[in-house]
Amino acid sequence: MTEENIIEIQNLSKKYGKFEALKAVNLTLKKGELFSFIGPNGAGKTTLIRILTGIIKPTSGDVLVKGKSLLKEPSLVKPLLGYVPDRPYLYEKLSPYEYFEFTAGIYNVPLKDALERCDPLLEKFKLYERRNDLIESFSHGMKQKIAIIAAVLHDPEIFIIDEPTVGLDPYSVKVIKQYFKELTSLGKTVFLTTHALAVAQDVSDRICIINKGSIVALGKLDEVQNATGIHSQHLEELFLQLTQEETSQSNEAVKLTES
Amino acid sequence: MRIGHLIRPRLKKSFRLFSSYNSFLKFSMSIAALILVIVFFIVLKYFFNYIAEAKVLGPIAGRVFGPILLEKLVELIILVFFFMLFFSNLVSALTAFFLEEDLPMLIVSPLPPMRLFIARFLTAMTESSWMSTLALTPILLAYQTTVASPWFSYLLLPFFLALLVLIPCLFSSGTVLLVANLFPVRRMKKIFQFLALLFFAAMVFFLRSLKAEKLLNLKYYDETFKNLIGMQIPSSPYSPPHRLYKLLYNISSGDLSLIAKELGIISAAALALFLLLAIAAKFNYRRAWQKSFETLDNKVSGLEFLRKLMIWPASYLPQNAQAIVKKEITIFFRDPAIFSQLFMVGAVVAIYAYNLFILPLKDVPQLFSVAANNWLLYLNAPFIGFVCAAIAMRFVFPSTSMEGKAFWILKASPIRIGKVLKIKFFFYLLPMLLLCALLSAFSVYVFNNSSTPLMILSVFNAFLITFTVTAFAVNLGSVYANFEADSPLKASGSFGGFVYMVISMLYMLSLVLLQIFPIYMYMWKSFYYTSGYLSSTLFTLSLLMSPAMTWMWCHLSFKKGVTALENYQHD
Repeated sequence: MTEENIIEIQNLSKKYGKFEALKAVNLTLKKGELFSFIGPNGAGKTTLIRILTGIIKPTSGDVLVKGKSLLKEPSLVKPLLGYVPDRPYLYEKLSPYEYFEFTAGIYNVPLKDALERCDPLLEKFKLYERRNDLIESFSHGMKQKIAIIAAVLHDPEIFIIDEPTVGLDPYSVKVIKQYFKELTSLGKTVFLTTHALAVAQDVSDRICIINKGSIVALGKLDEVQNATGIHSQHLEELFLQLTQEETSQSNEAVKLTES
Repeated sequence: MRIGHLIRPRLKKSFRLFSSYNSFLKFSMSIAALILVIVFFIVLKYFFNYIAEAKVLGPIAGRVFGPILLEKLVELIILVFFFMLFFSNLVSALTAFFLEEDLPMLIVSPLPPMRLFIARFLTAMTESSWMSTLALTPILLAYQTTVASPWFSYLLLPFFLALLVLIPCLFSSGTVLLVANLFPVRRMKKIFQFLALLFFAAMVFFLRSLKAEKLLNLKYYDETFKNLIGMQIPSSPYSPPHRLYKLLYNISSGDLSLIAKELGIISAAALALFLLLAIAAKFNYRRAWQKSFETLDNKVSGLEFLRKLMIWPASYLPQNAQAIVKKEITIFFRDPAIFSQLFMVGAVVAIYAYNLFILPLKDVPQLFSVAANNWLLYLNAPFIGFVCAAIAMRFVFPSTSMEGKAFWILKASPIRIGKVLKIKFFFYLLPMLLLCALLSAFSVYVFNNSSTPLMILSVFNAFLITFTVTAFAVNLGSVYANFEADSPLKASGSFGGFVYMVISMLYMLSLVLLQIFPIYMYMWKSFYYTSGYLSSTLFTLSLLMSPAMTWMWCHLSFKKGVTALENYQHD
């Protein structure tokens, strides 16, 4: 592992019964990069993220974060990660401030430091006035913003976010994109999955396309274009061609096997 | 879309959940349940016979008045179950009709509202009544065997049970539909929950106030008998519980013409009610559902002072523990059902205390002795444990499930699952031990025993059992966590809750079995003044082994809980 590699995913597989959600995925993330992980529905993005954050265990393989194994030393690795899920289920009977206090507590962050970090973000997301209201009264987008703020309270090295723009208004999407850039400029790594390909193209240093549990393309946009021979200015076309090709190839394979 | 299509996903979900449980566990729990039902039936049969014969009144008067007493008792039971089903269905129906997550998708579909309403009515009725029906079946069978019903009466029992379930559910669903147009549904649910619990507590007090135990005692029999004979059960000839009781009476007596008449009247009434409800749903359900969105009760309010007072001591805990404890307390105090929950705890403690006070020991001289009191004090420890287990089932068992879909927060954090469970355990242990201390102190006072070692052992056992049932509640509550449950009642009323109660009872049984022979030896020594070397050794050994065995039970359940949560696959 080189010094600038912060995450190393090694032969990661995950099976749900007979279904193989991830097939021996190998991936390396560099410190300070904004990495977009894209793929069609059911491709394995959320499974990979959940393994990466220690929420579920892989069937085989390992994840090294700064050289430490997530599976063997979760209590050392997890403080390095900040996570926002695709559906921001939070404790509805707490207010944002109480939720931040709770998060600070389980991450062992002094409350004063946590609140110093959250106040500017609450202002930025226009939620400061609602900091003492119950979360249950918030919309999906507002909960998403609260989850984002809570994920950075402990100042993680890696920020992992699943579908960051779902439910957010255009202003918030802009704020989020700016915030990702701020984080990477501070040397933090951002790992995001999204279906908003324009966002991925706009902000990413590197992209990774996954389909049916396997990586089908990885690198900077021009590198992927050169490697695949698909020279389109838009990530969307590249994505569609790669994933549809993959799907039609596998369909062909199925037909051949059946015949 | 047919109604069956709307019900099938729910049935499949329940079936899958049940199938996912370990086969051996399901088998052993089924056997345990069957044994419990049989024991319940035998005890009831004995009790009903005792009432029906009323031997204390003499051979002639007993035969005349005994059956009247039994009929009064059965009518009372039907009345209690009727209202129990009515109230429990109120809360279920409210959730099923207005609060479930898939409703928006179904409401906007071209599906006729009436069909959706009927499908939800059927699922709510099943969910709210299966446990009551299971409990009622051995009671009715015991009644029928006591009154020597003909064979076909047993075959008609399912029809009676179906009507007993259907009619209160029709009334409660109608009530829900009506009031949903008048009040904000999200607050109404809490009002109904409170009312239902209030009703249960009132019923328990009412039944206890009948002082049935005084039937054991000749001195009180005359007075109690007069009270029961003259008792006016709140019913009229046209009230549904009374008609249902008449149907049961006719079924049990085997008069076919009367059965046909009563069954016809009640079935026609049920059908008419059902049609009325369906028509009301057709014209009103969609509007009521839309109205349910109008009010959200989301401001931090009420009990804030008390909440702050309660979380203040937590500030002295390590940061991890502080975060979890403060969160648990805050969520508890913001649950609007808190008053009903606290009321229930108060009611359980009060009923326990009342039961001890009215024990007929001192009134039945042939039963009363110092030795008997000592034994009863010892055996009272598992009883305290049972009360604590019942409280823990309601408050502690659902604690992991109540993390709900926010459980990912703990899973993604650096805090280990084992530590979370330990924090939860110690947090809940404190109030549970306080409750145990209160009940133990009261028991020691009431029994006024003569053996200090037995008294110490009884209190020691009560604390040991409370410690263990709290650990079981946290750990098994994690093994059978239901993160989809929208209320603690749903989590504790599940198969996991049943397993928890059975395992808690098995632990209490194992503790008593471990100690009973040494205690017998010890008591024998006190009677006959023999050399007590063996009895003292056994007594000491059992005392040492009890905590060791308790540790083993707790440790095993802890391991199971941690493994279950670590391997939990999020949706």
